This record gives sequence, structure tokens and C-alpha cells, in this order.
Amino acid sequence: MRTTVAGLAAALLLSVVVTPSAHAQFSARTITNQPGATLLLPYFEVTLKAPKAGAQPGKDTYFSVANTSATAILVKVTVWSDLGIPVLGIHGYLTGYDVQSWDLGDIIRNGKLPATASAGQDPTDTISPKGSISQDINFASCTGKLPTTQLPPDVVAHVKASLTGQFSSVLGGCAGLNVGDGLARGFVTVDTVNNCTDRSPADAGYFGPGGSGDATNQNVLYGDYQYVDASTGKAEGDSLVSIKTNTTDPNTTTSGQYTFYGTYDAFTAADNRQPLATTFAARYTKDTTVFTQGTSLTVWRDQKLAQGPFTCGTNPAWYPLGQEDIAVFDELENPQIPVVIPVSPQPPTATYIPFPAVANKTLVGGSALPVPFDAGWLYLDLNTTLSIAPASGYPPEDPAAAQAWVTSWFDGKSVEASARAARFDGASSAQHFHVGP
Amino acid sequence: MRNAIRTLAALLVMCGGWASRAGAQQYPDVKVLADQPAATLLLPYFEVNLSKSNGMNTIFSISNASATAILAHVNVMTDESVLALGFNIYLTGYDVSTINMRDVISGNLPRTASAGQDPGDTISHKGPFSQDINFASCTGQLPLPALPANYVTHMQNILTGNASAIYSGTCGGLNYGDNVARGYITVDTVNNCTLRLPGDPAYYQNDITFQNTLWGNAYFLDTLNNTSRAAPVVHIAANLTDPRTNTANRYTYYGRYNGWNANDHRQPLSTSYMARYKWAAPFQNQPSLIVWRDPKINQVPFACGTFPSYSPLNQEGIVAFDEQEHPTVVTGTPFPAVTQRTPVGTGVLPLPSGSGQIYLNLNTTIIPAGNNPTSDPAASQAWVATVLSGAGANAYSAGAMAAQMDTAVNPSHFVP
Repeated sequence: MRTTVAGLAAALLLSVVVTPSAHAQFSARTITNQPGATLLLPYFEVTLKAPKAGAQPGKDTYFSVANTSATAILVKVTVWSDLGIPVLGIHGYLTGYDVQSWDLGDIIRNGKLPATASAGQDPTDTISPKGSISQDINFASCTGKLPTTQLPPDVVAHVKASLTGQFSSVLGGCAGLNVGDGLARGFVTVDTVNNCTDRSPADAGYFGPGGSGDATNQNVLYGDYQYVDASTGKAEGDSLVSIKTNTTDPNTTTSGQYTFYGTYDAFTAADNRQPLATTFAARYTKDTTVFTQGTSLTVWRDQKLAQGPFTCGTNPAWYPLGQEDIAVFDELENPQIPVVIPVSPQPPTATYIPFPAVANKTLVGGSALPVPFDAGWLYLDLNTTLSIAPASGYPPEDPAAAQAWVTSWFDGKSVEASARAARFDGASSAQHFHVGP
Repeated sequence: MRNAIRTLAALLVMCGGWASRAGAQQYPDVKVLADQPAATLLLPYFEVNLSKSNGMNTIFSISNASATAILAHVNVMTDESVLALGFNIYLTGYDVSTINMRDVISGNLPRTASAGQDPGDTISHKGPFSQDINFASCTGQLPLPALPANYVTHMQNILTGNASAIYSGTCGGLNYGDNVARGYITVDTVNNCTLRLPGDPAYYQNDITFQNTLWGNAYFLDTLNNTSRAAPVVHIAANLTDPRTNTANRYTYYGRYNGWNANDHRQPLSTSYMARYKWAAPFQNQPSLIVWRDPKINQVPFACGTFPSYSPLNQEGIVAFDEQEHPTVVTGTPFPAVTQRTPVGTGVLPLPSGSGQIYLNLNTTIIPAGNNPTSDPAASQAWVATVLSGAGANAYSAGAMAAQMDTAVNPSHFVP
């Protein structure tokens, strides 16, 4: 154990001043694994049905969020439906160098939240303990909100319903796809914020230029996530997608440019967050010895239109999302290039809509993404133009651009492995290349 | 299936155009690594259990993101950065080649051949959108033959820390006594079937190219214990226009081999990382860190029973934080080799708590490297990833990259 060299105050001051990442300005052009101001868990699944006594639970998703700086921070965790509607907002307080794990199964099934509290709500330092070189401060706005360890039953019911495509009385409508398999689906964002705001990233005021809204521009977060299926003994994970802010780069400060949360700030660049890529290369394989169950892709996409609850039994106006190009190569470079119509919503006659939602998990070789080969790679140009105003003009710099994130999940009988797809661009300079003639 | 196919020439022109736009000749930002197609791939660590055929194995794929045919040079290095094997592979446009390290160490190398060595297009097939050209320098070399028995023995010995007859009875790696082959692999785009060694400056002067077209994945499979995980290999981009990768004495990835003259034009890795470790449900087994480091010298085989001159690699500081942020300063040299998988919590990396995060400032001054790179002699690039695993019936495994806190272009020397 390190003992404080001088007094605690001096140690805190030193750490806060010299920590390398607290407000670092990173390149906005490419997504890297550097600390960011927003983390994205691109897709999650949780089995809602409680296991029988003695039985293993089904699918669960865990994620961790870590603070790389000595400065205490507040984060807003937003759980979104697979059609891009915010369903649940949770605050988390992290002292300097803190790390916090979240079990989405426990949150969604049982309404249980990990307890965190800033100094004002935790005067005895028993809820969010701090280390000797970690800052612990008070966020007064969190009084009465932190710690929260149990969601009310009606909120739990709302979350379950919203994430399974059922009617939510809280929303007064539906929020997601109703697949009917008992799995809650969606994605999660984690933003650094300056108060225990009740706003979500989809609300006005959440973002302001230079971090003047609820969200801040502290590039201090990183994290990881794991999909665990105890019923099959399989698990795999990856790093959370780290999205950085930059308040000096024209790509993330100029209105009209593509930023990660542009959908929610009318592409004014008020969020100052770098966008993801639009074009990817992803491996797939189905063999007879190890990955016998084939490969699935998790694909997160930007619908570019703030989506509210909708009438159950219908779909949002932008649904399903299309793409500009998909090319399927086998390992001998033989291609299959399905004809696609690069607009959203896709016309009823379209037959190739493998990633229609915001958060998708799609089996390669399944009905939504048929391929004639056992192994190879996929070229995915997921740019798409929405045919609905005003999103048809979004983002103004390139209305055809559409950010996304793709990961391959290789599945065997008792093993699983994952790999991020290679990225060919950034949405701030999206490519629109079509493979083949 | 689209069947409107024009002439091959027209296709190649068109696809070549895309190759340029899709990153083949673009020069990405060199400051930090991203999973974008690159001119060099690094598989930071591999393991092959030579005692049990269904034990741990490593398989990796090399893919060509462009329509243009390319040649790539693969170097299999020991965990102390001594060359074990170098060979070339040819990829047509959009090709993907999967390399099974158990096969390689058994002497069975991937069979590829450019058009001149494969006139019937039966070895390295090409698709209708893919270029297939001749690299005349590969005649007589590709397709690669099976390696002779003495070379197989050499690889098995050199990668397990035993003496190699091909290296006159000297060693190249650490001997853990478990008959597990360990090391790392680099893959470079090249313009000929070169057999130059990675420590030969002429390799960077004459052979390597700057085609940012390679991407890949690695798979770690242990069917004996029913675990697997995968990760992208590290993508190292080349940039001919950025002063940070074309100015002598700046840190470039291959600086250790080319006298730090930057003629490799490859971006360096980071030097400081933060990594999450978790030794609690649902990951009840001990976590570990995979750490690749730069010895900053060209390491040659060394006398068995001794260590390379750079060894052990030190660091500027390591501080672990448990989940209550109590800091623990780690002393000693938990990552002494160029590449290693190190258990977290016990052994060389003892910690009072099984879960938390760890700050790794892996910068170090290496005496045999002299005052290099002169832009910052204390800078030392590295790569870090975590491995979490379950226990018993849930003997699964999951991995994640550590967060990159800087880049060796402008290293941070901060320690919490």
C-alpha cells in the first residue's frame, strides 16, 4: 500500500493537477481505445425469466466503467431500447480512479442498482469509499437521488416491457422490437455529467457547447463488457466503445458536422463528441470443429432521428434501416453482392435488411443475412439516407452518412470469441464506395 | 448473387479506386492506434501447448482490405524478441489467410502463390473483383514447402526457451518448463519475397511498403478446457507525410531495427495504459494481463541460461487500485520479457484485492539501447490487454483491450 507522501489534501491536489487524461484533447477523426467522455455498449441481451431453483440463469450482460483520473466524476448511464428510445437513466458517482461494475440482468430483472454516492450523500465514506490519492467531492444535486439501490416496481415493469417491445404505461406506447423470445435488448451509453440530471441525452439542455449542458467533456472513462450465458457456460467480451470529446477540432465543434449525439442536438456539434465509423470489414466463420454454431454480428446504428415512443404494433418511420452496400466474400475472394437500395426506411420489396434496428444481433448465414459460404469476410457500408424530413438532410455535411459499430461473435458449442470489425473511415469523412461494378 | 460482371480490367480499376479511398493508400492519424487497415499487424502474444494437441492454440487471420494483390512478410518472434521463423504469404485482392500456429510450429506453412507461381489459379484463388499479379521474386519460394524436421525442432525449441541447433545451441526465449511455445508475430506489407531478417536495416530500406491494407483477428482456443477468446490484432499504420513518422530520431514502431531513422514510417504504440481486472463472479478464475513491450534493440540469440542484455524490462511505475480505490504501488519487474501473459493478484504481480484497475506506465530507459530514441530516451512503447475467465462449469474466457493513456509519439511519464 502506498502511504500518502504529504497530507491528503496535498496528494489530491497533486493528482488532480498532473493526471494526464482529465481534459486531454484527442483526435476526433478515429475511434481509439483512449479514455473518452462517453462509453457505448453497442448491444445487450438479458434473459428476463428468472431461473428455476438450482438452475443456471440465462443470458446476462455485465459492464464496468472506470475513471482514469484522480478527479471524482459523475456519470449518467442511459439504457436505450433496440430502437433508440431512452428507457432508464441511472446516475453513478465515481471517486478518483474508481471502477464500478453494472449487472444489467440484476438491473432489468430485479431493479437492483449498485450503490454509489458523492461526499454529500456519503459523509462517512461508506458507500463510495475513496483511496488515499482519489478525490471525493459533493454533487449537491444528487441529494435525494443517490444512493439508489432499488428501482420501484412500476419502473422495473416499465423497463422490462420497453426492452421487450411491450406496452409501457410510463411511456404510453412501445419502445422496441417485440421478438417474443423473452430477451430484453438494447444498448447503453455512459456520459460524464456535472449534475444528477433528470434529462437524458435525447433531451434539450443535456448538451451545450463546450460542455455547458449537463454532459461534460471529461475524457476520463474507459470500460469493458461481457456477455455471459451461464446456462451454456459461454462468455465473451470486449472493451466498451470509447467516444472522445474535442472542443478545438472543427470536426466536433462546427455545426453541421457529424458528431456522435448529433441526432439529439440537431447536428449543432454541441456534444463535441467524435462520431463512429460508417464502413467496416468483419470476419465470419462456421467450421466443423470449434465455431460450429457460426458467427453473429452485433451492429449498432444511428437512426439520425430522435425517436419517441410509438404505437405498439407499428414501427418508427425510419424503420427498417437500410445500407449502401454489403459484399460477402469467401476465403477465395468469391463475392456475393446483394442488391441493396440505399435508403431508409427500406421499401417493402427489399429482401436484404440484415440490420434494421439501432441495436441488432444478426446471425451470418441466417434468414436476415444469408451467405453462400462457410467462412470469409463481409464488407459493410452502413451509410444510409433517411427519406423522412428533417432527417433526410442530416447530418448537413453528408446526409448519406450514418455512423455504426460492428463486432463479430464466433460461437461454438461450448466456446465463444469476439473481434471488433476493422473500420475503414470515420463518419466525419464517410466513404461511400460500392464494391464491384 | 450479382452477376453483372464487367471485364476484369475494368473491375480492377474500379476496385483499385476504392482501395485508395478505403484506406489502402491513405495516411491515417498516426497519434493513436485504431482498428483501421494498416501496413503492419502485430499479434502481441501467442501460446501453443506442444504437449497436448487439444490444449491452447492460437489462430490468426490476415486480410487484405483492398482489391490490389499484396505480399506480406510474417515474422514469428520468441517472447524475448528473437526471430524464430520468417516467411512470405501472398494475398490476392480481398483475400483472407488464416494461419494456425500449431500447424506452423509443426512445419506446415500456409500455401499461397502469386500468379507467376500459380498459373492455374489453384493455390491462391482470386475472385472476380480481386487483383492477382505476379511477384517474380517469389518464384522458387512460393508456395511454401513443408519445413524439414530439423527446422521444426528448431521452432519448437526456440519458442519454448530451449537451445536451437540452427542457432548453434543458443536460446531465444524464456524457459517456463511447460512445453508451451510463446512469442509474438508481426506481419508487414512488402514488395518482394524477401528473406531479410527483421534486424536488417535493408528490410526497411528496400522491402517493406506502406500499404495500409491489412487487418486481422486472433483466436485463442483451448478445447481441452473449453475456453476461447478472440481479439483484433494490433493495426499499425504507415504515414509518409506526418513529421512524427518521417523524422529521424522520432519514435516509430520499428525504430529499434532501423537506427531510429523513421524509414519504416510506422506509428508507435502507447506507453501507458489502464486495465480493468476482475477476480470475482462471474469471472472466478484469476485474471491475467497480456503485455507486449519494446526492447528497443535488435535482440539476437543468446547463451542458454542467460538473459538478453535488455532484460528484465523495467517500468516507470505501476499502481493498482482496488474497487475502493486504495492504491498499491507494484514493485519489481512483473513484465520482464518482450511478451508475456502475467497473472494478476499473485506471483510477480501480487495485489491485496482481486478486482480493480491498474495503471501501467511502461516507459523505461534501456541501457543497451543507448540514448534512443533521442526524442525521448525514456519512452518505451507497449501493448496491454486483459483476460478474464470463469471457473468450473463456467470455464469461459473474455478479453478486453486496456485503455491507451498516451502514445509513444508524445509519451506521458505520469504515475498516479
